Order: sequence, then structure tokens, then C-alpha cells
Amino acid sequence: MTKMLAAISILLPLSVLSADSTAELTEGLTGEFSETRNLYFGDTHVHTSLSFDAYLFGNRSGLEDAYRFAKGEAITLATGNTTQLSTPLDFVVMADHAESFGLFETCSRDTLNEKQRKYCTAFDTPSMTFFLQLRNEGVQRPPKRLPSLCEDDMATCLTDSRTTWDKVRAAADAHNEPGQFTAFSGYEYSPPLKKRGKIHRNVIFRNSTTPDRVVSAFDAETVLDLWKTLEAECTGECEFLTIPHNMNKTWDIAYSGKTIDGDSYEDKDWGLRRRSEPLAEIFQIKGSSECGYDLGASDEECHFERLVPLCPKVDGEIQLAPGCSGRLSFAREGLKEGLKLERTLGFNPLQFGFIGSTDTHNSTAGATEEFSYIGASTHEASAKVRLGLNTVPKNKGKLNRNPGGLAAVWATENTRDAIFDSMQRRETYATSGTRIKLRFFAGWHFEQALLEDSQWLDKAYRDGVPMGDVLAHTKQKENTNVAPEDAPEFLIWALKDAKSSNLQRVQMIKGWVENGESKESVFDIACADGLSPDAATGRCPDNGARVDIANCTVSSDRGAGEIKTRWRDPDFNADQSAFYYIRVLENPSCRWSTFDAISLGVAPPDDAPATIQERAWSSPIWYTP
Amino acid sequence: MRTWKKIFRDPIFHFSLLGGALFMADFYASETPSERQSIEIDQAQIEWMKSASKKEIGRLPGDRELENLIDNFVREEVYFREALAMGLERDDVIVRRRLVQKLRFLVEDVATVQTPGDEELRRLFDQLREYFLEPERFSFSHIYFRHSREDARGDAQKSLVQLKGGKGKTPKQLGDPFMMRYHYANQNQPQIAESFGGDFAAQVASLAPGQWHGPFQSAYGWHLVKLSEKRDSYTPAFDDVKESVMAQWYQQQREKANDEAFERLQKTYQIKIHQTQES
Repeated sequence: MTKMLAAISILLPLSVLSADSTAELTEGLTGEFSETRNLYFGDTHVHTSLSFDAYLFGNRSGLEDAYRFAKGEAITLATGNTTQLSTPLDFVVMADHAESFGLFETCSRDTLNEKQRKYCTAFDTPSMTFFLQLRNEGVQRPPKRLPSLCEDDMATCLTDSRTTWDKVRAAADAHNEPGQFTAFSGYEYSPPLKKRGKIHRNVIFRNSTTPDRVVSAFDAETVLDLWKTLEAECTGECEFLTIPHNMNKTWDIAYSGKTIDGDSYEDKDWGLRRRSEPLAEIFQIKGSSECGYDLGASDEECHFERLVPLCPKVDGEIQLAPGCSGRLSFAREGLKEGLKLERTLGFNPLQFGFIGSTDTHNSTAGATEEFSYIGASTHEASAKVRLGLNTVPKNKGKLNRNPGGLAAVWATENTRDAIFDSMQRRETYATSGTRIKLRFFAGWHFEQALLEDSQWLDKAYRDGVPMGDVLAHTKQKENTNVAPEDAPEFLIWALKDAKSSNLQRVQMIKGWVENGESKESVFDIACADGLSPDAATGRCPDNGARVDIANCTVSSDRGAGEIKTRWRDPDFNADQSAFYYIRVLENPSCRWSTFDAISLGVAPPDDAPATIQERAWSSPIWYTP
Repeated sequence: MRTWKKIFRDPIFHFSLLGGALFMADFYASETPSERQSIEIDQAQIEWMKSASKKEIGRLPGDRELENLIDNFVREEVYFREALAMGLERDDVIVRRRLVQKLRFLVEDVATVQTPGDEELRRLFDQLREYFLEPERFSFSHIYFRHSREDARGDAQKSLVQLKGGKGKTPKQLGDPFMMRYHYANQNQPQIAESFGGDFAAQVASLAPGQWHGPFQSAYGWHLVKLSEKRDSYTPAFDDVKESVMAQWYQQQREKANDEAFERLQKTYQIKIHQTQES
């Protein structure tokens, strides 16, 4: 390990050496500045070989490779695969595990004692056993910083952790090119839970002014400590936000109002959360965290890319346990909890928008295409392993994984400031990896004719609010002539990904609270192919789009290039807080596992769907009386 | 119980199962004393074992313990050599990859300790002109006719005639509203393809500036397009891309070192590939 790490740590700083601190441009200085916002696609959750688990699985591609890949260059992975994005990303966050910062620096020192040397050597022996051992160590409460490495010399470990952070920041500054490509400094705060669960956050900084250390799970026992420490250390020009992910694997902690140690949030903690956490990553390689069917959610699309089993119900009671997703493991339920909390707190602490990302451990930022999936981790590099065909009897492989999603952001220009602003005001959406383009507005007097108006966008921004925003009734009443019986109108406009399947339908998800109980409705509000939602089922009829799973060709004559519609809530109640978000579905196409099966000449696996419907989820718009 | 579970999950376990059969077959086969290899353990190694053991158990090993340590070392060495002799490392993709990687990093480690001078970087820059070439960029406006029109293409054609006649409606009054932009500035061809589709991008790239052209089909419908500016591709100044040149230089050093090492090593091998033609 020492030799290899020496090589790596030599490679790391080189790109960084010549980087002078990138001058931050002020607003409007790039050529593409637009008040009505441009659309940028990014990945805010990328692991490089700096993450201990990625390294352990065999990833040897560092920050430099990962940035080059994100910008569209081809890189060769340790597995020998040469890989390249078909479309470069517009922005990226390398979110390596803060807990492994310093590890490689310390292991490259020539003063290691026997215990440290043994530990460091283990990192160069790709092994699931060692990984699980580390994970089990990590689950211990309170957490201890890498005991075998650090307990004899904590000062060195802390110094080395800062050195890694310096490199991460310098690499982001070097690769940030205002107007072309945005690179944010960030990391992942990653306390693990039993049964391979997690309650993690990605921390992202607005600019190059950041604290000079990372706040890892060793430095902050709970997420409340994380936010408090960040608020204390990130001051002046420094601004941060945090993004939770894999709520599906939090074993119900995500929206429970409890910390990892089971302590309840106090009111001021909810304030902290509201200030710190404007977004949630609802889709990534380890599945969807949007909603759980029959766990508060009523629609069948919640089964899409479910990673872990839903907790079973006995006599209507959800049986919570580590290893299954409960109701509070899903973003939609989090939004509903927010409406409930708003009544007692006077503010909604869970008013968050959506993004998707990959969580790749392969340094392959934004590699979300099903047909070119090579696994999100080095040990998934072979199709046989992914499908579980490498063992007898065959196992489940990595079948419940997927290539991950993308973060879409509507921003005035491609700069750190503009994109960070958009993330803070939640003008973002998530996709399952496709690049569907989606606009979503709410307002009080949107006429149908607006959809045919070439100035519609200016008017929508002028008279309404975009995705992620709050539509207030009372405020509007003072300024305009909104009558008490008026209902808001929603404008939805979606364009297909020019390289993906046609659009099939647009769905509206509404959530509200009635008599202290959270409720929801899911409507199909526009169908392609001239179809209308069925009055009885509320669903679009089958548009006949099919996939030939022998070769993955799709019906290109079904579905639409664009769908736009205006919608009014038939059950609008002016006295009731509510949230509304959009889901756009593509026609079915082959899932990665089917492409893998074709390449191996075997039948698609029985225990995974052969096809999927790629999709986009808008951030919600909230209505507040 | 838990230990067994771990062992069952360990790839080494699966590997040993496979290897086991092979090993048993060989076990009774060869045992000629004259072919015996020697395993020699000198005092330095023994001292190393003692100190390692001291760090682990907090005191020097006793005679019996030292005997065990040596015995274990010998056992390991015998198995290690036998495994190598049987070529077991070649059956195992992890071991193989690991060893290859180890050598590669060693080679690269040596290759990247130096820093290039400006002159050398400029030379590389000259060699990589094509890589650093800024692509052609296009600024254009478009008028959109959506697919759901009865005759989107026909409507677009009629509008084109109107525009060319210079009479009647302005571009803004023609066509359908578009969700994205009406004007695009400084887009390269892949960016246009990302927004509208590949065929559309190729057609826009072939236009002469100044006139409305079309209709061209995109992923969404038909479009009339007017190119307002076409910026030719050009080579940027060295100073503007020096950092990237430097990154390329290191990348090349690493690759070169590997290639050279391989060239040197492969001369000691005779490589024959026997491929059966598949019909």
C-alpha cells in the first residue's frame, strides 16, 4: 500500500500545483446569462479513489480522472474499461467520504508502526470481508476515528485529513470554469447504520471560502452536530448546504425527527435543518427514495427501482426493523411530515426540493445510461457479477442497483453562485438518469392561451412561481385580484431527452394534511398520443409503446417529443397547506440488466424488470394559505 | 457462526474450493527428494518475527511461541510457493489484477517525479494541437413547429417563404412557443445535438450565416433556422491552456513509462496467439 499510495499522492497534487485560486465571476458576466434560466445537468455525488470503500473495491481513479471524465474526456478505469460520457456534465461535486480523508496521506508516511502498516496494507487487498469489518467498526457509537491507524497518533491523522481536504478544494478550484463547467468543493458526511444502512449527507460549499477541515462522522456524532459545527465554522463568504440521500436505507430515521442516537429534534433543531437542507437526493445507484407503495403512498410507480424491501404490515401496522424501508424512509412522506410540523412550529422545516445523482464509486460522474452501464463500483465491472451469474447457484448479484440519476438545475448561468442560488431556492429537479427537460410553474391567473404564447416563459416567471417555490394565497390576495374561491393554475412543460425515448405521460402528485392525517392524490394530467386520462382510474390508457427485449428497440412512433399542459386542482381547498410535484414518464425502454443479458447471450433475469420507464421528478411547489 | 458467514462471503473461499480439487489431484503426484526446493530462514527474519510478535502481544515470544511463528511462516511459504508453482494466481482475477496494478504503479511512480519546463510543454502543446483545438461554435435563432400540428413541415415551409419575401409576420409571430430558448449563442455541435438531436445539429453546422433555412427536423418537431454567427475553430494561446498541457504531460509520462516497461519486458517473452476462426 505504501508504495501505491506514494504514487497516488504524487499524482494528486500535480494538477493542483499550478492552480491559482479561480477568480469568481460576479453575476451576469458569462455570455449565456438568462433571467428565465438555463438548464444545467450535474452530479453532486461522486466518489473517487479517495473514498475508502471505493479504493477498497479497487478504484484507482482519483480526482483528476473524475473531473476529466465529468468534462467529457475518456478515462481508463483500474478494470481496464475505457469509458466516456456521451454528454459532458455542466457541474459536479466530488463527494468523497470525509471519514477517509487523511487515510492515504497517513498510510504514505514512512513512520508507520506495525499495526498501522497492517491496516494500510489491508486497503490494497480488495476484500468484502475487510470492508464489512470496517463497516462494523464504523457502526459503533460513539464513532472513533480509524482506531488502528489513529489511536496512537491522533495529531497526525487530523493534520493529514486537512491535507486531503486542501487537495479536494484545490482540485475543485482548478476545474471550476465559470460559464463552462462548475466544480463545487464538497464531501460526504457518512455515519453508517446497522445492516448496511446509512444516514448520510453531502456537504456542498458555495465558493472557495470554506472551513479548513471537514466535519466527518468522527467530528460530529449526529447530523445536528454537523449543522451546528458547519454554522460555527462556515462564516463570512462561506456558505454551505447539505443534501441527504438513500433515505430508503435510513431504517426510518430520515424524516422521523430523531437523530441517529434516537434523540428527538427540538424546535430549534428543525430551524437548523430548514436553513441547512434545501434539497434531497431522491434517486441514485442505490435506488429511489421517492415513495413506498402502501406506506403512505398510493401509486404503483413507487415500485420503480426499489432497493431494499418495504417493511411489512401486520394488521395495518408497519413492522419497522433495520433492513427494510418504512414510511419515514421516503421523501414524499417527509414532505407530508413537513406540512404537519408547519402547524406546530409555524414554519415548514421539511420544505425541500429534489435532485438525482449517481453516488458512483467508480469516479464516473454522470454515467447514467442503461446501455453503457459498467457498474458503479470496480467489483461490479463484469456483467456476470452484476447479474449474479458468476456463482453456482446464481445469486441476486447487483440486480437491485441501477446506473443512478442526474441533478437538473434551472440557473441564470453556469457559475458557482448561480447554481448554488438555484439549489438554495430549490429550482431543481431529479431524473432517473435521462435528460428530460422540465418546466413547472404555479400562479393564479394562468390562461390556457399562455401555452401558445411565445412570451410564456417571461409571463410565467412574472406572474407565478417556478418549481421549488411557495405560492402564498394571502400575499397574492393583497396584490392582485385573487378571489377566495380561486384555485391556482399549474403550467407543466416537458421536452424529451433528444437521445432517449419519447415521453408517455405527466403525473401530478399532491399531498396535504387533513384532521392531522397526511393524504395524497396522484393524477395523470396529460397523456401523449392524443389520449386522455381514464375518468375512472385517473390513468392514461396504454399508448401501445413496446420494447423488443431481444434487441432493445422501442416503438418510436408512440409517445411525444413534448408534452405541455395547464392543470387546475379539482379539489383545491384555499385553507389547506399542500404540496404539488410533477413526475414525467418516458415510454418503456430496456433496463441495464436486459442490455447485460443480451451482451452475455442469456435471458434477462427473472427477478428484475426487463424494462423501465425513465423519469423526471420536479421539485414541489407549496401552497400556503 | 458469524466467522463462517464471513468466510462464505469471502471470494478467497470460493477460489479455494475451486483450487482444492486441483490441489488434491497434485498432492500425491510428485515427491522426489532431489527436486526439493530449499526454504531458508535467517536470524534477521527471526528477529523480525520476534519484534512483530512483540508489537502484537506486548512482549517477546517465548521459545514455544517462536517455534510456532517459524512453523507458521514455513507453512505459509510452502503453500505460497506451491500455489505459485501451480499457477493458482493466474486463475484468480483479483490476485492477477492486484499484481499487475502493483507493478504499474511502481513504474508510474518513478515516471512522474520530475517537472516539465516550459519548452517541453510547448513542444507537447504543438503535438496536441488537435486536442486543444477550440471547436466551431454557432450562434443561431430558430422558429419551432411542433410535431402535433397537422402538417408541421408544410407550415414551416410556408413560413419560410413568407420570411424570405420579407412581408407579413415577424419571426416571433410564426411557429409555436418553445420550452427552451429561441436564440442560442456559441454552441458547439455536440451541444446543439444535446438540445435538438444529432441530425439537426449536423444540418445547422452546414448552414451559411445570415438567412433563414429549413425546415429541419429535431426530436420535437420542425424548425426554421437562421445562423447569425459561425466562429471557426481555432488553436488557443499556450498560456491560456498551460495547466491542461501540464496535466496531459503527466498523463503521457505515466503512459509512456508503462509502454516502455512493457516493451522491455515483452522482449523476454515469445507470444503466440492461437485463435480458432469462428464461422
